[in-house]
Amino acid sequence: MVLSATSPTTANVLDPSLAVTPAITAFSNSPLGHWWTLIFQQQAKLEQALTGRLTIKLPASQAMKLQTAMESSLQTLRLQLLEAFQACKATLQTPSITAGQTLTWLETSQRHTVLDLISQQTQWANKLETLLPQTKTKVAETEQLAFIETVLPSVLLQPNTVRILNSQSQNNTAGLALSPDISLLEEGIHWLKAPSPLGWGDLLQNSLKEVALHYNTTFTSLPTLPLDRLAALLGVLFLGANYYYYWVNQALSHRDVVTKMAFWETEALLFEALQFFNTGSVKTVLWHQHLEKLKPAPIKLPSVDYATWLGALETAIPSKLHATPKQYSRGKQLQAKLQAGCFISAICEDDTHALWETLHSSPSQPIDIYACLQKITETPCDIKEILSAVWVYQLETQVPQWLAWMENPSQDQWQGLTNQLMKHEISVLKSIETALLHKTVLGEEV
Amino acid sequence: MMMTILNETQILKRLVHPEPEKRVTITPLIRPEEQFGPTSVDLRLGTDFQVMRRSNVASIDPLNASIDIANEMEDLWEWITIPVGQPFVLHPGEFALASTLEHITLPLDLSARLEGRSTWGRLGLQIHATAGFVDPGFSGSLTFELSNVSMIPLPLYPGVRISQLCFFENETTQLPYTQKKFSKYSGKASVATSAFYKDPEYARIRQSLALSGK
Repeated sequence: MVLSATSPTTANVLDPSLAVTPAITAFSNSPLGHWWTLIFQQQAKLEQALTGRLTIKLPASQAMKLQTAMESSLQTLRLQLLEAFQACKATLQTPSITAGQTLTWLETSQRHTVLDLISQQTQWANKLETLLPQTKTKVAETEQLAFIETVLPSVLLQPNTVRILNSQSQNNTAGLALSPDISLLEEGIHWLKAPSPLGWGDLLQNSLKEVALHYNTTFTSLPTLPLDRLAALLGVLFLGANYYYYWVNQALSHRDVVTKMAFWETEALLFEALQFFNTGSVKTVLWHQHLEKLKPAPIKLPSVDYATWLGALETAIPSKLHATPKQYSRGKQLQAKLQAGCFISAICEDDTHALWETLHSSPSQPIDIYACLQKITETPCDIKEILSAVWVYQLETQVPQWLAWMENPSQDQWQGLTNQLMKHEISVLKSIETALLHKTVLGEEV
Repeated sequence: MMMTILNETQILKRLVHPEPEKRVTITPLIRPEEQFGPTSVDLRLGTDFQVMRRSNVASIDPLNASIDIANEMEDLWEWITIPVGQPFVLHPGEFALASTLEHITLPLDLSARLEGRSTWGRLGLQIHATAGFVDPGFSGSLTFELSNVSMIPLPLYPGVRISQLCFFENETTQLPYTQKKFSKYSGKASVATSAFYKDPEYARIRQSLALSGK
């Protein structure tokens, strides 16, 4: 393995808190220093990857197990290295120590751990390279396409659907060409970031922009809107309050978003669209009010006549594609199951409480058991409902925790939050698959 | 309390019980009128399977480091996901792991037993080797240990009913499966391979050997 001693590393990349001294500069430019830098960078990438983006190209629990095993082994080594680094920071900053002495000290004391890390990462890369080709693809594109088609008028996307999916799948597979060398460290763990059902938001965004482009060119009499704004309006029309939740959830996951005016403008626009289509809820109002208080300054929407646009879209897009209160309420109903750790593939539409009352009130009376069993039958949910349930649940329950974590970061809390996200990923993945099978068993079209 | 097996009405009551700590969850319940028997509920086959690869591994020694055994187990088992509408073919003499399509949750005062359906038993399908008992408080998918003892291959379609679950009342346990120390299979959303090497005995044996300098 060749380590480049001339890579453009600098001391402040190594650790921004470390003052630049000649010893550190020399160390940073050494092969070992190069590794330290990569480890710091890798740490940041791993944290990014840990936001729960599991690959959907591996069976769910296999991916989960692999990820857990890999993370725990790599993380332990990284932490050891970082701790060692912290411990020697003071020594590194002593002007009297020479670069050669520093290097010797680090090489002799930490070489073993660094080599372990390299060897572990190589082993994992080999393992993934062996496993991935053996694993049958879970027809990710078919599922993604089905997802889009439940949300958007696919006729407007064709023939672009294939292009959108392909661009998505290129992103997905970028990390599959792992090679057991330095590139694994430099490139980060792409396969963890490959979009999963919860990450199909990017796909949704791309698709919404395609539809937005279509209407921007169709409604020539209306003022042209920026594509992202029009896509936001369409998102609310197709997904209702779920889209609002999803969008805010995604936006808030970028720490610096609250400083950006675009965030506040789009949020205001989304809220206006919710009011217009009458698909808001008490919770969305509360969220909007909460966010209003955080705004750096009052937001005035640009003087485009959004109401005209909203009216035109409402008329042009078939009503069967509009978000309905039923979808939202089913999504909300699924949340109780999600919270209990169950699959959210199906829902019982009957009032089971009334059935309990009947059974409980007259225990000695004979009952029509088949009539009762009818009442506990569950119907399969569609992908839109399953995803909506998780988006809404995450925003309602987790964003406040994420925001709190940003204020006061702790490793334990981070682990807890990412574990929750991963659990939801698995649940969504299995639920979509189970719902599909449920429909097949009922003899319905899938 | 005498341990009694629940009949269909008692099971139904548990499924709709308003108190979460008394409620049984089986989801998805696709066609309960087909799934319910006098004292049992049929469960369906899921889409994930695991089969043991042919390998040159002589044995898996549980006294090795856990991470090494986990890697060996990973190498030894092959995951197979069967697309909807296609069968997993279990050949004569073959052994495979699979899981229920349903997610099950038991309250603390009920345990359960997973059994095969006679329809499949008559064809030579066994759905568990020896481990059919489900502890109170369990939550997750149940794992099948499938084997074909007949002379012909058996095509198994995900979604078909291959097993049944019976429920037994017990005094409320203070030691639910999810809180039991060293429980290994709770909360699994799919097939779970054996985690035998996580049994604490092995750690103690390792420690004893190390102390004795062996």
